[in-house]
Amino acid sequence: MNHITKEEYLSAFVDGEAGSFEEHRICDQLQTDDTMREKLSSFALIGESIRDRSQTDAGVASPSFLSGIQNAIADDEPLIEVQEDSTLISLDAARTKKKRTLPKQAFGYAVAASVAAVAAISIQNFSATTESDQQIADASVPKSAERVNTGSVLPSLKQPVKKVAQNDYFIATSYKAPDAKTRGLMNKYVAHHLQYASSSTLMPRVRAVSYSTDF
Amino acid sequence: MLKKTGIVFLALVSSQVYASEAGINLLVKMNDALHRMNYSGTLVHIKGNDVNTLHVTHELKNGVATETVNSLNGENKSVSSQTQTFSLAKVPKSVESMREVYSLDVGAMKKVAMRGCQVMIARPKDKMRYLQKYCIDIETGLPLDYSLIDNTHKMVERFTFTNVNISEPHSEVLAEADLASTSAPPQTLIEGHSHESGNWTITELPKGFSFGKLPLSQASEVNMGADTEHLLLTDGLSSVSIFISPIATAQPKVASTINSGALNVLTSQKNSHRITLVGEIPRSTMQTIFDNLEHRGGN
Repeated sequence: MNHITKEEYLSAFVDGEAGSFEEHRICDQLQTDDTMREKLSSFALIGESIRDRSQTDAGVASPSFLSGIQNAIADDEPLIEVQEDSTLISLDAARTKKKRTLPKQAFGYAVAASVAAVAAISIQNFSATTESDQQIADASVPKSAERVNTGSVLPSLKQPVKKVAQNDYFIATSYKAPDAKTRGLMNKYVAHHLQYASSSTLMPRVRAVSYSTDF
Repeated sequence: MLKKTGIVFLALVSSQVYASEAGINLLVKMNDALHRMNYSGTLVHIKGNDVNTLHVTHELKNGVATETVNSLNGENKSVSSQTQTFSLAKVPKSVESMREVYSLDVGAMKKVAMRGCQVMIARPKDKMRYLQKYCIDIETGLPLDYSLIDNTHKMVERFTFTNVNISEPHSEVLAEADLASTSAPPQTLIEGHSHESGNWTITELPKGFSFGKLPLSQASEVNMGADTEHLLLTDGLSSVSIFISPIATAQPKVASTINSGALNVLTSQKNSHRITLVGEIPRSTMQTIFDNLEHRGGN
């Protein structure tokens, strides 16, 4: 198998079009062939980049991106944690399930590459919103196009767990309906904001009239 | 495969850069039209289940823009104001920083109020702000339809003209307006407060936000309260005001919020001061700003 053939096989492998025999062979080679592993990560990244048009810079991931994938393959735990976090499958159940599945290593590479690529692409969204209360993944929101520090791919896989804890704070923050005095103060500040601190002219006035009919 | 992928990739990148430039141009044209055009029409404002119909007029006369908004829902509410005319100097300098947090996409052509308009979407790259969707009149640049959508794809607010008459003022009127704008005394606009202002500092600003400019006048100080500090943060499309005033007597630390469409208000206390945030940003972003607001010298 020369390099061109390898690329074709890898492309088919990433696209899920390789046969089971080829999958096994590619898996065996991936364990020993650094070039192949690099190509696999590139293919996975390019695929994700094409699927997400806004990720212009994601195509220049640093070499540590590959090590992120390798680490993900070497250590199953982050993958399991992702499963645990998203599907509430227990760690033991996930391990048992993993033992039963045969072409798991093949899929392990593909999943690890895809997850790592998606995680790398999404890192900035996570980092920009660590203090935000929104938990719902918003597939339509394009991710930022800055370069990704892929060294933090693996920690980011664990990040959702931490995010829950952070959001607990926000959820725990209780708000009360303002009393009459506070409401009066708020109204004064709203009027001031709409009059002096808004960036366009039309909408603030409309909001002011509309707001006054609310409160 | 790699060559083809590369070509597709490059094509996508270039088309996106082009779309972003076109989006910026449309935004500038829209801001210009909002200030320089004469227009009058019926505008529907939708917030959740509430629908408010308003009559809006904007006229440029003697170098000054006069704007009147009347509610047609029987409440007899109206706001009338005279504003200084538009100047290129007031276009946000933060276009570049705006691009860091919004992806500006030019969409399809539509018709609103029987006029052709171009859809432009400012799509946030994080969850700290709303998605903003405009339909901008092709002929004049006036926004005919404007909606704000949260990260769960829920429309929180929408403004749409049902009919509108737009006309360009005579060139002499525009020249007068430009003259009035450039000859306005510089003290009517002050730089927004710096990162550290007075006894307060914001340890970490939400991405894309920076301190904005505030008009300062006797009237604004009277309305706000003489001992109240006013900070303004903006990401180029949305803004949030932070009002800080001392509290004379000890009060229970209770956080209160109210909401009206995209507008959120959050008030709470810190270091014997009442902190009130007002702006067209999600409440969670407000909470983040509030959390990062620190009284210098510690608690």
